[in-house]
Amino acid sequence: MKNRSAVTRIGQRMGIGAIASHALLVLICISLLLPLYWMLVTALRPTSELSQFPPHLLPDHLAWRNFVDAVQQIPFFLYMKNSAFLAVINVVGSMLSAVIVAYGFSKLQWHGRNVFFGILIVTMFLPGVVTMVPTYIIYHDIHWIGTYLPLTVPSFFASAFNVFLLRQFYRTIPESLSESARMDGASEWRILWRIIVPLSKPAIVAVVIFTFIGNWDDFTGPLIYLQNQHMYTMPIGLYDFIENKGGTLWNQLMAASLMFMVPMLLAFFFGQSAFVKGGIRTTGIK
Amino acid sequence: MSRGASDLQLRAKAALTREKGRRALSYRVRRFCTGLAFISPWLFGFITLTLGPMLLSLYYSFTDYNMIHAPNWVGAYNYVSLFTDPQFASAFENTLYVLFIMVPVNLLAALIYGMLMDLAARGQAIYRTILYLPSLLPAVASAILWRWLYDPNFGLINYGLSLLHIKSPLWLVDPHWEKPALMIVGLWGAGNSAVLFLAALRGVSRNLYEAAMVDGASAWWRFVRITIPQISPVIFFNLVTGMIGGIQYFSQGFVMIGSSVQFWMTYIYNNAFVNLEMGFSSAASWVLLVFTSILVGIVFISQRWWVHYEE
Repeated sequence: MKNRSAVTRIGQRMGIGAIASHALLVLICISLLLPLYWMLVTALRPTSELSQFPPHLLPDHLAWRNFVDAVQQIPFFLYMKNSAFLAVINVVGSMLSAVIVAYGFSKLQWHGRNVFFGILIVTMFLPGVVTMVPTYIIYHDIHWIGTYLPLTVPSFFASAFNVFLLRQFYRTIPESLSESARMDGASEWRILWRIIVPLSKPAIVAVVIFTFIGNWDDFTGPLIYLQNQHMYTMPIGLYDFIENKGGTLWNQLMAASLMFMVPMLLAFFFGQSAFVKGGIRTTGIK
Repeated sequence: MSRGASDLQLRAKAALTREKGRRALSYRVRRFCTGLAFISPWLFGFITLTLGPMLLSLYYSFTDYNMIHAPNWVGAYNYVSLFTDPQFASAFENTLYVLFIMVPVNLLAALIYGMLMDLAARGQAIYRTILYLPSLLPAVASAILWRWLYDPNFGLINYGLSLLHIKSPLWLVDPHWEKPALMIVGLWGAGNSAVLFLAALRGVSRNLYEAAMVDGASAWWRFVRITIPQISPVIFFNLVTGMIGGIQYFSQGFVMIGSSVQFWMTYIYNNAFVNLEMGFSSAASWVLLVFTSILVGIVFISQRWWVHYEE
């Protein structure tokens, strides 16, 4: 009785027993997993079976060669390479910049700090759309359109979200550590890199994971700034394949999507413990 | 003490205070410079990539700039044509649909998922993982998957409906079913909010419920007067993130339907990058910004009435 969660006891009074909730949950889980299962199944269907109606729940032949074909139909490795390249640069840029900027907002006391931080918070709620058009014009005037520069350089300017995350985490580090280092004559820069950063590994990993996932998935950025097919990333490549190359070979498309997803899933599961520690702790959710 | 000596003492004290003040001032200036130096990457980015473009966008919204000729001042012309454009009206309507139907429904669904998981005392970890799985899919991959599922002829959904002898709609190509189709995809991915709700629900102290039950409170009363207020910070967080995401809803709709069904952002995208009407799309962007600010501002101010933070 003591260890039951509160809603359980309400539920019992309401007549919805734990059994009913399990039943509902199982139903929900099945309906959530069904599309994913279908994605897997479609990826393994031979092309001849794609247009069969009614579709069979399991394919008659497991067409593993779909994965091979997909890689040949669209410039798979090229797009993956491009996605990976951009992701790595963005991760490095955002990590470095967020670590430094967050330090300035948390561990240093200076006149006007809170005003600037207030501005930062407000920008978090800004729809990116507002800056989309004029930023494009600016990039156009300095001839950056069609290069990777608009998609990489901004990451070195610290996104508000990453700064916020790290700043909240830094604040949980006792000030006494920095104080004693200052008394020993260490500069703020040293304190940041020798003391704060080693203690902030969970939050930094969270930043890396968030940035990687956000970047791997980015569609709008490459859509606007890339023109040369050789430079496309996977999201744009997949979209381009459907829209322009008449690619409605759904089995190959699913195979390509699955392969595309793997790094992202790996990143998520790999960073999950740090993810939770860095994320939940700093958003103040119990 | 003689007058001369105390006079001297006063002057010495004043000089010392001034000196301290000066040192304090230079110390403050030094700290200011250090702080500014540390945040300089963000500050530079803010000025060049946020503030600057915003002001430029404001300027362009009063011109007819279209990338080909130099901008000419046209006053409020863009704004007037914006509000009289039927395409904008439908884009605005679609965005309102997202904000006032999709977001609340998603929130409710996530809350229900969370409550169900909380009720089911055992196996929470498994349910949590499964529910979270769909939101792990990259937006583009899930849009492509659902495009296949919604295929009028070979898609799984219409097949399932035909088994139940329900007449199957054309989904993504049928104007009546486009938006519900997108909403179903949203419900599918509500797991990430649900996990937050679960964490919040588990954190509600049981003592509150026990005390209420001793006083004879009904289950509904306990839900409305205890559960909701206790998890209100998470409701607030999910609501605001949902709203902001909803206003900028773009890539999923774009990949599933293309640019025929327009949301506010698709409207701006079309006018800016297809028609190259930079001035006009800047006006549309600014109206969006004002709209967002008002909406988010209202939600923030309303916190006072329904969000309870632990002191």
